[in-house]
Amino acid sequence: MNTPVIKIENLVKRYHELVALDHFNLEIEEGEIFGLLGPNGSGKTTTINCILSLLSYDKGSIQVFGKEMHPDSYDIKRQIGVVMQNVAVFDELTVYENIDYFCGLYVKDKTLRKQYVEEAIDFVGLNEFRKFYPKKLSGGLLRRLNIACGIAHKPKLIFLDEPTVAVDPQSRNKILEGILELNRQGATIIYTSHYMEEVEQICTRIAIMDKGKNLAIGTKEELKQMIKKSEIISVDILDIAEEDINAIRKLPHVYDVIFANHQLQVLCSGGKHNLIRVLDYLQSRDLSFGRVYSELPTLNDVFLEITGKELRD
Amino acid sequence: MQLFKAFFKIAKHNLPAISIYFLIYAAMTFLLGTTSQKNMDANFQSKALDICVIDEDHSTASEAVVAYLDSMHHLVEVENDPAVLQDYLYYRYISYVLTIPEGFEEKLLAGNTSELFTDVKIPGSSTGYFVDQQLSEYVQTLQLYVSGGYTLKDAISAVNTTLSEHEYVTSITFKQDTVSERKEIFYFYQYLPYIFTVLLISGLTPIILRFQEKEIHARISCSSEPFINRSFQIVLGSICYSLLTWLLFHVLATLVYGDSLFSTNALYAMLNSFAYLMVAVSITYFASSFAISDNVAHMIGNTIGLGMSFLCGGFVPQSMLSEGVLKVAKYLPMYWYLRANNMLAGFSKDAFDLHFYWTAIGIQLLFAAAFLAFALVASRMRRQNA
Repeated sequence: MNTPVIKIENLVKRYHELVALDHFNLEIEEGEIFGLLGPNGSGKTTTINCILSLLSYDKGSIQVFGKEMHPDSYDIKRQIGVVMQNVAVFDELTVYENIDYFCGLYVKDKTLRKQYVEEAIDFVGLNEFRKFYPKKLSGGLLRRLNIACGIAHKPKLIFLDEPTVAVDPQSRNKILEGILELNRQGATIIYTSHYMEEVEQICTRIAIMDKGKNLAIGTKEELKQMIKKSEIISVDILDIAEEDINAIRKLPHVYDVIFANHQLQVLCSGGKHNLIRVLDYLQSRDLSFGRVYSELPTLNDVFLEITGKELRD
Repeated sequence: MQLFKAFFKIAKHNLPAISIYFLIYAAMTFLLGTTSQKNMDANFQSKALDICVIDEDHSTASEAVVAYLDSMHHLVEVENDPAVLQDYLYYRYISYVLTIPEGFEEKLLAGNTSELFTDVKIPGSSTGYFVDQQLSEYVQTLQLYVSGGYTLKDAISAVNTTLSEHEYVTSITFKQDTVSERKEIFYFYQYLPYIFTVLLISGLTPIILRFQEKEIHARISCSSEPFINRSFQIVLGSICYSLLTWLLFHVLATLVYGDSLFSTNALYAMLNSFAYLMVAVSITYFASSFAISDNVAHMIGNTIGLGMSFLCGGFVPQSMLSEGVLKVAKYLPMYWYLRANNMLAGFSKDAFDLHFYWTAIGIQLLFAAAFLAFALVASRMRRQNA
């Protein structure tokens, strides 16, 4: 078995009385795009800061590339790229100078650095803006510059902390495509975001955090199987009697039925052919209905059921 | 040397703002230096005052006092009527009214020092204080000779000789052009600590702060550039920036003052200004460790610069500051800088003392080290609380 890229064991971090990380455990394998999900204050950023040795911790251990991580583990840091949640570039330097500066903190060889900087500029599509100062860039372009500064030195492990916040759809797609490309090139990626659809779209495994604990971990399919709700059937219907609602509730795999605003919602847990069973019942009772649709659970449903709150709470 | 290069790229970006500051403060320094020199000349001329003396004792001693005052001031005859005298004082026809009461000589010979004269002067005027000092000096010297066994006549003669010799020495000193030129240099050095404090805090802090912005600092800390290298490059950048400021002022001073800048005392003053430069750099580091904004940095620069200059005698001579103020000022680095500068320039009563000079330099360097230590502690605390 390969050594995990990151291995966290029993990590405890306290801010005075507040326990930010409570015996937190995590293993991330090479080549993964790992999503870290959690509401504000759940401990995501604290976890990342502890991994990067930006924060000291009270207990536990962190290994990166099989070695204990310390503030002076410069050989490990050489292989890490960081893209912060807020744009971290110098307003006084141009696009090119910013990327060159941050790349230069890792790559001393000037020729190699020049090549890396050019590749990073190509990668994020900032060629025509290379002489622009950050203040002249739009929000989306600025985010791309932020990413370029974090990945120009070709790291093997990249931390992306909400890289698409306040970005237009076009830039967002460009960024997401870029992340997938970096992963194809061999980088392991740790990704945090509030956007569930992004996490669903690109992450190979996801951990759900709350109150400093790892509540669930797995692929999106595995996470969806962990929750009771597996399908929501919605039927537009003018009216339905209470006895019919009770009868539907007794159908196999149905665990709840809600009728409100001329819409019937049937919540099912697992099983197959739930939609056919519901429609068969409605036809057998000669109840006329309009639009019918079925939804599979989203990561947000998973999140809601596991943590009891919306991601953006 | 990525950080070092970025440091100067940021400085270059801020160059227009820094240049404006530099030009304003450079012009201010040289203008203040020249103005102060003129003020000093004016004060010297105003020694000869219009004085009214009313001698009610008509003794040898009282006549000697009148003759002494006559040798230095213009004696004006005015009717001995309080209302008339008040009018003369009010309209500044005279600056001082001295009444020598009956029995003055007896009291003088008996060694009494209080209530020998009665005087009326313009309230709060420095000229009145000046005449008081001269009279006090004359009487005390006279009493000294009398108590030493001199007859009154011999004592008067001896005092006149002593005091006239003193004046002679003084006038010779002021006639020397080279000394006068050198004084201008010391005025330049007198305002320099204020300029350094403001220029470095306002110019250097915004650059240091860029590297301390939370996200940028985190990104740099995550890199494989060792902490020691990073700190060294920032410190090196700050030192180069400060040295450049110091050098630019001295190049300008060379253009204005020429060779006089390299006389022995001026070189001591130059070294003194270098020691203060270190203080200004460390104060800048201390201010930067609080992650303030650029505007707050300008405000702090001006507040610290002006505050220390007023408290320590940068704008007002130390001799005119009260003892209470000077007691507080002793805990500030600019006080020691200015005391050394005043000593070198002959602006104070302190005679040239190399031991005191090095002590003042040492105290300034200790202040610099202390501020640097505070800055490190403050940065550490800020990081821990982040």
